[in-house]
Amino acid sequence: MKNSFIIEEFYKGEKSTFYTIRFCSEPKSEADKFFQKFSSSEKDRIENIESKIERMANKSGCQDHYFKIEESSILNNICSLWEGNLRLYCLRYGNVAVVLGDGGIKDKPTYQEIPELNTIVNQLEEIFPLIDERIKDGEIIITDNEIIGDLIFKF
Amino acid sequence: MGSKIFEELLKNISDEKRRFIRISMDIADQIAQYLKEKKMTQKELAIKLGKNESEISKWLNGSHNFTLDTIAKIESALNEDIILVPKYAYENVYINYESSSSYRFNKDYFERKIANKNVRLEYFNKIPLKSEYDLLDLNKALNKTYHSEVA
Repeated sequence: MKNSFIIEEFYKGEKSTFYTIRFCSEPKSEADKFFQKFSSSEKDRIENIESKIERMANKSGCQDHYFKIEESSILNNICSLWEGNLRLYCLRYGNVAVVLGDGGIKDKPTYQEIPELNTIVNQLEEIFPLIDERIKDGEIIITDNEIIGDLIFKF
Repeated sequence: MGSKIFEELLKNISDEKRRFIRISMDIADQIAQYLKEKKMTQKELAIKLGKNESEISKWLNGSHNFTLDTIAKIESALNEDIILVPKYAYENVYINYESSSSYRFNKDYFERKIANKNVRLEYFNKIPLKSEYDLLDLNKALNKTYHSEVA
């Protein structure tokens, strides 16, 4: 991972909190990029994802059946919020916290065949062990509805 | 804190959309809960219904537009109710304080317990009533799922 980044709060609720990744070299967070990219062209599907995030945060928590496990995620937490072939890639931490990346349309059988999606998933694959290490060291703690601790990753 | 862009987008979501997602997620949660209780996998449910596993996955993602026909098939396969209209969704449970005098009746405890259950608790501490449950039975009963109205 060459780029410094911050895990910042995206949407907080009583049951769970959504975070996103903001690379220090970029003005927008990864999740903001996703929602702005598709809010017009995929209005109905995007509103489904928005409403689900709202409900997961405030009522139901981030239960595993709402997420699709991605092909690479045997050893990591990478999954996606999905509507048909629209994917918002993320890292899920139990029912209480999700770190949102960017996403896009998966119109081929695997994300590896789509350069943009491949980059997004690869970024999460690099970020996951960095977060995981801080969790193991106690520098990041997952509470009953949020992630707290050192969420700034500088390189 | 939080994304201003996302907060603005949420303001544009209609009540109808929110209700649709609430209903779909509630149904998904109920199916997932039954699968867990019955130690059944999504694959096993798919086989029972003659569907692909991917279809079950779609049902559980929280935004599927279920037909009544599909709901009926799932209910039949699981032998459980998934949706109930409000008329039949609640069971009235009567507590007679008289019968509970040997126990320390903790109203707050039971109200917390039933907060997420389809049970209405009625307190009649002066009028003798047919008591459906005493305290111990109520405790057991709160762990069950109620589907029908009990007088």
